Amino acid sequence: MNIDIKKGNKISILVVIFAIFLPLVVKNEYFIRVINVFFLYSVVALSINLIVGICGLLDMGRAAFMGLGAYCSAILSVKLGVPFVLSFIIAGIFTGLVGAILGFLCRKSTFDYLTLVTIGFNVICQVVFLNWISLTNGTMGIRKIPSPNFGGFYFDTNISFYYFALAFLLLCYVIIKRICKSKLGRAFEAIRDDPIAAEYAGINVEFYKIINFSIGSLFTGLTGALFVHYTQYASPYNYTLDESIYQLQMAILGGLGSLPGSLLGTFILVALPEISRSFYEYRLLFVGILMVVMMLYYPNGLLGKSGVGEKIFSLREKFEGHQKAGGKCE
Amino acid sequence: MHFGGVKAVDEVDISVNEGEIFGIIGPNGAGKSTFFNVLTGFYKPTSGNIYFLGNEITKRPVHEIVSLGISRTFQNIRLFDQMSVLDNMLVGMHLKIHPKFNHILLMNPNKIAEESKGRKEAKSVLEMFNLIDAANSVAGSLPYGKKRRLEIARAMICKPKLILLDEPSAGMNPSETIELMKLIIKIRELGPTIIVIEHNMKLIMGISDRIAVLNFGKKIAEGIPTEIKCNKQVIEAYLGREDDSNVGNF
Repeated sequence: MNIDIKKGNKISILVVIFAIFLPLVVKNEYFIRVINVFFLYSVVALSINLIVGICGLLDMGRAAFMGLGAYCSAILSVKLGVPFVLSFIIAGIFTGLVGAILGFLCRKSTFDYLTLVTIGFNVICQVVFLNWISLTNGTMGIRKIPSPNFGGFYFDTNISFYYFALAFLLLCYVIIKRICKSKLGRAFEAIRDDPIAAEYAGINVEFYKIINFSIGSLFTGLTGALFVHYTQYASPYNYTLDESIYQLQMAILGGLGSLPGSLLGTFILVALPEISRSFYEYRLLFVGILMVVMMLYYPNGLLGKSGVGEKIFSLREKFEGHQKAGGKCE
Repeated sequence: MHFGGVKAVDEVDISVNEGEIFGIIGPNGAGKSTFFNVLTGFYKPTSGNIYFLGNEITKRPVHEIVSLGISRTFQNIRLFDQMSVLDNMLVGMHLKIHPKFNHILLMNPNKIAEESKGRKEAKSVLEMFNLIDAANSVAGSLPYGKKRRLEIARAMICKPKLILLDEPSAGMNPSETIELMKLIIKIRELGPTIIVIEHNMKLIMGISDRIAVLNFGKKIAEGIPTEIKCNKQVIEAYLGREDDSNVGNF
């Protein structure tokens, strides 16, 4: 058990070092841009993992929260001249609060009804983004959103943003991981596995569901804001139900409950459309088929229990001649 | 406790003394589990009051009642199947572990003092219940008997004043049942008052100080085991009228 943890840490450190040096070696702007998008969507996938995978709340309308964070920060910085650092943070808090309110309204909803509400909420947000023209500029979207900046320094190149996004991803990853390993994370998992037993263990289930939804939405909102500061344009067409399902699949593909899995799933689903333009058109079909195949063969995702990750892990063990009782991938 | 026209628990008036083992028996559908559900706040009673240690707890939510010192197990074992045995125990200690929020964010999880204290406690309880070898196993993968033990261990870990066991021997063979009896007696030594719902007559007669009998939602008898054994109404409830041939089998 001890050896595994150290190995896991070594791999993480290697990956981070690799990520730090990557843009110095690969100078292709397009490639860096794709990786930037991957970094941002990874945080979304992590937040989905926190809500859906850890706490078992099936949210199929995540994109709405990205939009909320995006528009909040865009409106603050473009229309009110609020500096980036402030608008970014406020966008996150705002989205977290909306998450708390929605969570509060649904606190007594059972699993299926919660999902229906999130779908409805997604549609409502989209309609609001498109039609509240005085606030959001409607179909025109909001332009000339400033690049992330503080103290006069602008992260306005792909490479500078790369490091900003990488730092953001690492920070979010560490925070979410720590939440998962704490009493909070255990309470979330207990609610997922058996809400009644959780209640009888002294957990105020309604309260913790609201907290979970709120924290997850905070991260989603921050990412949504970061996205539009990167592209410098906020469009109401980016926060559809299709987007939500695509984002959900990023977390599912890698394995709900597995944080590295979220990164892997996101990478696959962000990189593939870039590799093949025609894939982009068929991406929803692909995702649909992928969902069915995954449910049949790897129901816990690639890095979840009985997934590809475990198969590789156990193959390596067989090769090294070790016998181990009950392997579990984290 | 009325559900529409069905009186699931009809004016059941029971008083349990501190430190005793109190049994509740009755045919299936008598309202025993419903009684537990009402007691613990899972259902809000349509009429009547519940008192615990002198305080009224009638309309409080479950997690609040639990925090007052009441624990329970379930007829169909309720474990956190995807979590490890140790984590199940740590969830059981939810009310006793209080890490500071800034610690959660800023410190390495392995170094937080509250967490390691909790883990130590959880491990020692697992040892007491003979489950320490399975500490890192996924709870859902345990054999049935161990699952039941884990559920009881989890209910015991926060040192409740009252523990409710709902048909703990369901699905067990005779030797497992004897182990269970020993376990319940061991639990009693740790302090709590115990209320047990059971169908297994040997078990309930063997461990209870007093027993209440429910049928069709009503309490039809209450007393010490030897009285209950011979109570005509109780025998009728289980075996039906005009059939005295099985009286001796209790």
